[in-house]
Amino acid sequence: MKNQRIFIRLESRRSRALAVVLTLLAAGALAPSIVQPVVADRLATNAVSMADRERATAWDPTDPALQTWLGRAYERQGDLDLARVRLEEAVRLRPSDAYAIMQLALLAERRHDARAARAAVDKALALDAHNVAIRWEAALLALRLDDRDQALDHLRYILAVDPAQRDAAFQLGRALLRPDENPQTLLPSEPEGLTGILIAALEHDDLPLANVAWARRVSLAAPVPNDVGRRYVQRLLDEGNGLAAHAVWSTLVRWPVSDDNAVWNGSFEAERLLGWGFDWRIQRVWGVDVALDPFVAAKGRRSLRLTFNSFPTLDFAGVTQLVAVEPGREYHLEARAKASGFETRSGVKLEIVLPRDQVTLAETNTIAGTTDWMALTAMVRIPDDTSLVVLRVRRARTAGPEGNLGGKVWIDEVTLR
Amino acid sequence: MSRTWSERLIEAGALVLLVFTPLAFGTTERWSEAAAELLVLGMALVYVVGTVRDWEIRIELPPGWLMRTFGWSLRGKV
Repeated sequence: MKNQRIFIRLESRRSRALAVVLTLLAAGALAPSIVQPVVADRLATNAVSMADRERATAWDPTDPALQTWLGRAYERQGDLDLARVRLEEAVRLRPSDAYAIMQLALLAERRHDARAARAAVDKALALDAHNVAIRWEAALLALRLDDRDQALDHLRYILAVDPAQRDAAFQLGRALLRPDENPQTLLPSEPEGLTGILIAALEHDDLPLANVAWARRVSLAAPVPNDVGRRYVQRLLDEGNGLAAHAVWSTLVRWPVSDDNAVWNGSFEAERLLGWGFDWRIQRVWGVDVALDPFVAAKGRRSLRLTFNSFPTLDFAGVTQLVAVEPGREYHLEARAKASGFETRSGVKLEIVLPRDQVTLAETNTIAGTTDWMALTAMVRIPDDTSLVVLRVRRARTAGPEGNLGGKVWIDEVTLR
Repeated sequence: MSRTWSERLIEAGALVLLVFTPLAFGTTERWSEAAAELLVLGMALVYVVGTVRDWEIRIELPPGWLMRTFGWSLRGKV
């Protein structure tokens, strides 16, 4: 394809002058259409009174956005007739402007014309069904028109598509539900949408929404992505909600639960320690090597081995596990332990402490020196407001002077029943 | 080949546009749109005045100009 060339011969001074004049006239006609919107925009930005707004719109009366803006200003002032004139002008200028049509619906509702309002909402949604702002307006309008089901439909849509508005939509939707209705009905039924809502709820620290989204998501056949489940467990643990976190954890980590032991992997038989959720967490501490020992065990095949090579002032609490417990219940903590060359007056023990303030609820007897497998035991009563405790392996610093710390301690079969 | 003053002005205008439009954050604000449009209008004026000096007006229209003009005329209406 070639360029098309047009030649206009100018064979006299008069025709040249005419061409220049016509060009200047055309430029003069075009320039206002370029400048006027800028002036209108500037005036609209600085407008404080209705006269200012009128003046701004007069500079560019063909701009539907300005007409809608002026119409909304009149509506806020209570001048519904002028508001309608401006909004209708906006729709005339841009018939596909769903937002202006939605504003006309709101005006119709204020005039108690429910039929016109519904018709305008339907038209706006037909033009732009995926606009969340319009969905919000439609939901609020449906509420004013006593159409609860319609409002819930719009809120469900917002919940499904807009992460930024999910929380507000969920709170409003839940307030609209009857006591016998499940909040899960507000959520989408596809796994991807539910996972998205769960992630958004966790990011916005919205635990009620996360709980509902999880309950619905976990009921679907498709597995929950591990990282999402892990974040949810961590959020519940941060909240101190041990029993709920444990229920989620059980769906994420496959592990045969044979008895009522509250301690996870207390026999250390898993091939590795996960380091999150309810599994053991190992904090690296200088002078203490913590590892699974595949050759020494009180029962089964493995145990936890702590190898010490440190100063006597060592204050160690680097092996911990969060444990979900029943509030107000009394538990019996028990473990099997064995020591070799661990000469100290301050031996290794197990402690149960509160997660937030580290207050000790119970501690077992200690183990030191060189021993065969022996029992470390303690009784603990859980406070009524607590469902999560920390179980930790502890070696406190000695009160008096003694030699450097060496030797090994093995721990196995930790139970809390 | 030496260039005429109008060609130099148009080239300067094109270079200014090349620098200005990205600097104005993609020229999406009203004021920046207007500035760019006024500059283009000025370039068109210089072009016409420059060609009139040669006793003719030459206009080269690229392929598809009719469709583009039609599309431009619909701007803001849909």
